[in-house]
Amino acid sequence: MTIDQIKTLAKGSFKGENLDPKMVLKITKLLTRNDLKLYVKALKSEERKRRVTVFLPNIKLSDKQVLQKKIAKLFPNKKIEFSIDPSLLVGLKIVDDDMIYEYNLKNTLESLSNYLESQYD
Amino acid sequence: MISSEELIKQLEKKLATFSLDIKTENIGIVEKNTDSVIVASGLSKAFMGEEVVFQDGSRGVILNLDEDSVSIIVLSKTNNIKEGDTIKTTGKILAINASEDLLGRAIDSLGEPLDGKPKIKKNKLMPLEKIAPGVIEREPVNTPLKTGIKAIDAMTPIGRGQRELIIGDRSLGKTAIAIDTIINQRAQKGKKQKGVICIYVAIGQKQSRTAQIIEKLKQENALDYTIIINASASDSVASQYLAPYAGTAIAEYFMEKGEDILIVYDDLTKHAWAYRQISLVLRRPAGREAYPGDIFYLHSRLLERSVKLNKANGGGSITSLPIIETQANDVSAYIPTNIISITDGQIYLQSDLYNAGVRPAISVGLSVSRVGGAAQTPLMKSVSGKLRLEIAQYNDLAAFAQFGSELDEATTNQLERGKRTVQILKQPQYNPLQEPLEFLSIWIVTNGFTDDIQESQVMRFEEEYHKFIITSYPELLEKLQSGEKPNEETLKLLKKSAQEFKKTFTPHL
Repeated sequence: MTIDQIKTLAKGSFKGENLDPKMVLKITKLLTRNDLKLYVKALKSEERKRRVTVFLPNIKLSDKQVLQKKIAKLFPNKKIEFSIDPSLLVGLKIVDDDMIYEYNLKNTLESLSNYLESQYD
Repeated sequence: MISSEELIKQLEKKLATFSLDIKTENIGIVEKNTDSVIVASGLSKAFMGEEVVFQDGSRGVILNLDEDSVSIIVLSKTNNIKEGDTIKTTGKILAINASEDLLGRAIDSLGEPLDGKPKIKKNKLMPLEKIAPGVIEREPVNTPLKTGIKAIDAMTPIGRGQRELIIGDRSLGKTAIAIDTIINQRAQKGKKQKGVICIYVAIGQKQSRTAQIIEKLKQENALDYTIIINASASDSVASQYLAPYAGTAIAEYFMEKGEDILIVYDDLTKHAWAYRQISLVLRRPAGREAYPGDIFYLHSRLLERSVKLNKANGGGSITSLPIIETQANDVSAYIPTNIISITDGQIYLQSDLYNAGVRPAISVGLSVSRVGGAAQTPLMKSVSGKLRLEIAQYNDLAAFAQFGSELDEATTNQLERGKRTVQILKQPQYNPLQEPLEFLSIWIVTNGFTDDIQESQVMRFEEEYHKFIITSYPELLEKLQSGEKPNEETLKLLKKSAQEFKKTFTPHL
């Protein structure tokens, strides 16, 4: 089986935002060990592409719903997940597959510190 | 320690340019680590040649962009990168810190000091990979770069901005020629032309050998204007691959300031080996001798950066002396033919000559300088033509005379003259000569003043003649220093001095 075919299978294993267990079981029965390895890798990659994780220092339930709506507009057809990271201090961090969008105090302070370090290297 | 005022000033400066934009980062995950070549997933926004940072702080450069993965070479010496580690792109291409502080220092391919001296202050970052200046910015080679080696300065002259290959088997004195040229630049300082900054790039060499070279340059007071870039045999292949580009980037920094630079790549055979190793680990298709398809471009894009800029662009130049090691005098191998076709000439060293005691073992027939003639001084030009002709005739006749047939007087005389010419072109290592003395040596032999001197005494004759001229005819040296073609009066003085010296010369029995 070619990699492209395995990728197509991985894409077809999703029903909406989530994996379809019936479909996955059906596919895995037909694959060899090597193909299965590639299939799992392709599923992980597909899962990463379909998910957006938002890191926040803390969050109230009411704010979460507002934020979820806004982020869903920015990333349509993607599953939005929230995670708490107190080290961010203020602001947020969004991880979309292999892209990271940072708008928080931790990052700002880090860049300031890097700048000073580079000046006195 | 930073003072409080200084720190506040720096913070204010940063605040003035502070951006409140969202910071974006592209990340990847290490999938495989094979001999310091990393295969990673993610990094979908990465570009070729981009610098990346690993989770443990190590740096790397992207060399391959595939559909689902990227291949990265690790630049750090220690390699603790594990599967699953994260990688971040930096948005920058690989660059090296260049400044005047580098003069007299030994550094690695990333600009880190190797000599135990303090860290080099941050100045201008020069990209390792850069497109060579175009035709509009260039001018033809017109200024000589004197090596101080008679055979080269007379017959294969090198001009500033030229690329002259030094090629030959192992242990024939290829590095010696390059080091002598570096040492000779000390004598050129403060003369009519500007001084030359030298860069010696050691690729895949033994650490002990590079240490010896540094020591020798120090002894000869040549280290003050020299930068050593060392990527030894024990360093990573990535370091060996990047070393010549790092050297060229530093050379370009000085060239932008209007300086003339001499860069020695010792040697490009090992550079090609390092690149072949990287390419094979990257699973790029292997071609002839297992080298990848872009092995020619690897060296052509490097050597194309050696240039003579025109006055409008500062007038600086980069002269390069790439070195290639051949196996069993085979110049038709893949890498030697590539470099021969890229460069503006080659100095070919032959083992037969070396074993016959001719040192430097330069083969006159196979060595050539395609553009250096334009940069040769009229003084040297006035003797070089005759010298080349005599050597060529001697080589032809010597081959013919081996048959043992009887030779007429003219032929015998020509053979004897040729033997003495070969002797006069011999020169000890670390003893570069200034142009007037080079001229005197060639002039006395081509004008028959050594014809009645025993072949074994020619070198002593030459040495003593130099001393005689320095002490008894300083005005003659002064005249020759100008580099102008000798006029009637100078020629008369030359003849007089030679005749006078011959009376005082006592040949040993």
